Amino acid sequence: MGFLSQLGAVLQWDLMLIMVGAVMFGLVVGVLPGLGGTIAMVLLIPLTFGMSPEASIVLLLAAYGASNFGGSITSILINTPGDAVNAATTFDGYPLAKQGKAGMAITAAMVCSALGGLVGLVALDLMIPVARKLILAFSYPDFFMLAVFGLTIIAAVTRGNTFRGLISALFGVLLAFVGTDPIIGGERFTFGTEYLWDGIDLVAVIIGLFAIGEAYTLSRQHQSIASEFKVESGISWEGVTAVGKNYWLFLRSCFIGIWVGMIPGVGGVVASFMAYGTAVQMSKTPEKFGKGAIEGVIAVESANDAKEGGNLLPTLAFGIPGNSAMAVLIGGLMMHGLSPGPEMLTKNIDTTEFLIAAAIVGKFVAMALGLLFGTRLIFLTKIRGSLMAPGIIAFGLVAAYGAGGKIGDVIVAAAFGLISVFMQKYGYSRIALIIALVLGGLLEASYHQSMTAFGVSGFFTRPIALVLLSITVLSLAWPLIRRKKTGTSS
Amino acid sequence: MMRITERGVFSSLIFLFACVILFRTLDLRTDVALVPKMVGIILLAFAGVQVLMDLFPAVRKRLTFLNRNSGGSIGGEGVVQEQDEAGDTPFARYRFFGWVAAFIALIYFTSMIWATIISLFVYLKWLNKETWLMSALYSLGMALFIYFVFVVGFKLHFLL
Repeated sequence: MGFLSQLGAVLQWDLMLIMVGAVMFGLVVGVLPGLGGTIAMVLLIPLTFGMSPEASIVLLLAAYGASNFGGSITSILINTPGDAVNAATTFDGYPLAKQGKAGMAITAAMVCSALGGLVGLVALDLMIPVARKLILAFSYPDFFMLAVFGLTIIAAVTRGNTFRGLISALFGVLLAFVGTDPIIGGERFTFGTEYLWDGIDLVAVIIGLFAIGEAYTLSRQHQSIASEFKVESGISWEGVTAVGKNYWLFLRSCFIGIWVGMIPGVGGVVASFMAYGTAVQMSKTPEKFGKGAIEGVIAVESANDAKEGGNLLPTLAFGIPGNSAMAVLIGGLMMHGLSPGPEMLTKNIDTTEFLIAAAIVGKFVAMALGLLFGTRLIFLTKIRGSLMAPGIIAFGLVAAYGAGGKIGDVIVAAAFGLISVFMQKYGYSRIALIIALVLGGLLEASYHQSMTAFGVSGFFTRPIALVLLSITVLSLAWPLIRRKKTGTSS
Repeated sequence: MMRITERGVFSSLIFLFACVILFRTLDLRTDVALVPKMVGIILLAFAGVQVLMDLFPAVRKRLTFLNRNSGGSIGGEGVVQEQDEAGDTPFARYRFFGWVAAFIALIYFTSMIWATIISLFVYLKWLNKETWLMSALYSLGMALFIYFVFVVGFKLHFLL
């Protein structure tokens, strides 16, 4: 396990100080309803400007990991998930709190989150040698097919309107073509502005789509979500032993999380609900679920954090962000000269191992701080969304402006904030847009390289390209097959 | 019967964007324009159908399969939902983004620090109807935080 060699590098006092600060920030953001790991990372991006790539990785990943912990505390104590991924925790967490077992539920949630994260990240570490062998066998047509697959899988897994999901992806691909072309390096679609020569800034787009878009939603929440509540201690040995007693459920949920996490676009919500559903189906006492079964909390929280290992695999190995948080991470890494993709498994393998080690240490720091202070942060749910919105906007604009000192980036962030509001309102997919924006460059460059090196036949004769093409066609046809199957069975 | 709605305007803008990109490819070398042209044509076709559905309810009724949401009560991040939230009126939206535009203008003409103080104060006092004390403390606190972290800490002097 390569990450073990990097543990020493993570356990430096300066990095640990950053980690503790980031974990506290992540817990706060996780506790605040409507905000999640993506926003936590977006808001921290400006803080990475003066940092080394290692410190930036620690800052971003520690905050992202801790936000899950914060969200589960509010789910258990006040029946309000901090983020959508914590929604399933309310099913049994809140009934447990009502029975006076909040401490047990919180401890079980924290332990499962930390251990689930560990299992997911160790699985990622074990998958890296396989992924590296695979990626070294890739050539231009394979990369082209990989980009096409990355885009179509989003449309296929989008539960909602697939047609508008495709429009969002195509819109994102066209945006990726703005800047300089990959053949002669001339300007393209810049409309005479020097600013667009470098293309549309990924970080600015992410800030707009996620931070400013969410801030608008928050700006309309004039009431706090919580009224009065009793803060209970977060530590209970009963919670720890409950995890030990349900180790098989824990492991099964972790593998569900890892598997679901590897599929781009599916995200933690599916992982947690799927783990919960499986736990109910396989339980000898399914009637207990929903009324305060600790197994419900264990299943959800294990899957929720284990999925991060799965998420990181397509992000690091192929440069395909599995979700919006991974897109932010890609933006953060790119700001520090690291480009997720094959290089992360070859030239920058040490950085990848460091990243895994940092994420693992971050999980345990988050567990410790979550148990010590997590429940004390519950008062933050009294803050109205309308009060958080201007702060998020100001921080988002600083993030956009501070990265390069260009007012154009601030305008891009605001414009995509507005676009985000309409996309959400009219059923377009923001994640499809952002993934397409990341993959657009790879799509075009690998197309031209394939045509020069192999000609059209390259797309249909290379085994990897053919496999990817088959999966792409299958993923596009899958909704139709499923509909037909459902129709036949009904 | 044509019906002009905000939804129709939004899809028309995506359609227009595809048109503009395709038009600009005419000035480019064939190989440079090839991939953008391919993607642009597909987007033009898809967005065109969406515009027709949004502007003409009769077309929407005929193309129900394109408006169908794939099943499942839960979804991942790819989930696209049409929101109809309370308080989300066009006026609220444009007022909010008008404020963001004014914030950016202030950044351009003054500095990030001054823009933060003024914009946050205006938002909190007049748009959010907070107390004078809260508005002043919040905006000053945020500006001071940005100053000490980014200007003093990270030496980003262009924020001043």
